[in-house]
Amino acid sequence: MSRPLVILLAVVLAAVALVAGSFLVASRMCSRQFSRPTDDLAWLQMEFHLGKGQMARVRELHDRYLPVCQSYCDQITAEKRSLQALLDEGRGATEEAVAKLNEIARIRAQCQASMLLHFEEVSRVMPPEQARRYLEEMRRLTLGFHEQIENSMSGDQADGHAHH
Amino acid sequence: MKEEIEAKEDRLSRVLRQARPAPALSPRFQESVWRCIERSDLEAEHLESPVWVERLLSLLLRPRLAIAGAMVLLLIGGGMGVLDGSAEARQAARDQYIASVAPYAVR
Repeated sequence: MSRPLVILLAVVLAAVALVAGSFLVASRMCSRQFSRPTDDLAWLQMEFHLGKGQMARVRELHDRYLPVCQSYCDQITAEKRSLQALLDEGRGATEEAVAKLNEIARIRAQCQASMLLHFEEVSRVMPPEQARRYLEEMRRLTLGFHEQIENSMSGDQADGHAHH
Repeated sequence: MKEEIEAKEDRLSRVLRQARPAPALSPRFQESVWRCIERSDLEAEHLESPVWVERLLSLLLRPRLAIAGAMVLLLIGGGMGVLDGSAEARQAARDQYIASVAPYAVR
């Protein structure tokens, strides 16, 4: 290969290295700077461009909702532990175990309802377009997990319950 | 003395030449030498880089243009990095918010 071609290749490689290097440095710096916000609500401000007053109202709602959320979380965890203990006894799906499952489902439904109510309250603080986006995402989050399981069991899947 | 030595060397050279006679050149020797020279010229031409490469290099390696080019590349890479990093940061912030409002048991 002639010398000018070697030089051209070196120039191209240097250019690629320059772009890749600056990309990596900027990406790392940027994600390190913002990836661990100390505030749980930083995303709302970032994504939905909320003002100070709106953020203060959202924070108030959030702080009021957290103990409710924690309480449901504790109840579900306790019921799950108790169900696990029953199942570990090896007596199978006894009436007691089925009752525990129903109880978990009931608490979970209450928790989901309270989440939806909270998200609706928060959305009312936002401008209409942002509120619509926020609600859409939060509803998907609240209902999505179970929908995913249910879809996997529906006729859409080859080995679903539709075959039974 | 000096003349005597030179005469001896001449004699010695003659004797050596007679002892190893040089072979006669082949009839097409000159022609084949020229053919070799032409071939090596062709190879050298083939190895030469195209004109556009040299023009491009002379353009790229001008200090002002090289510095400006490097700055543009830095900006492009840096800009893409900032976009990528902020998307990552946004995702992390979203996950943190969701973790705070949606108990794992429900998700």
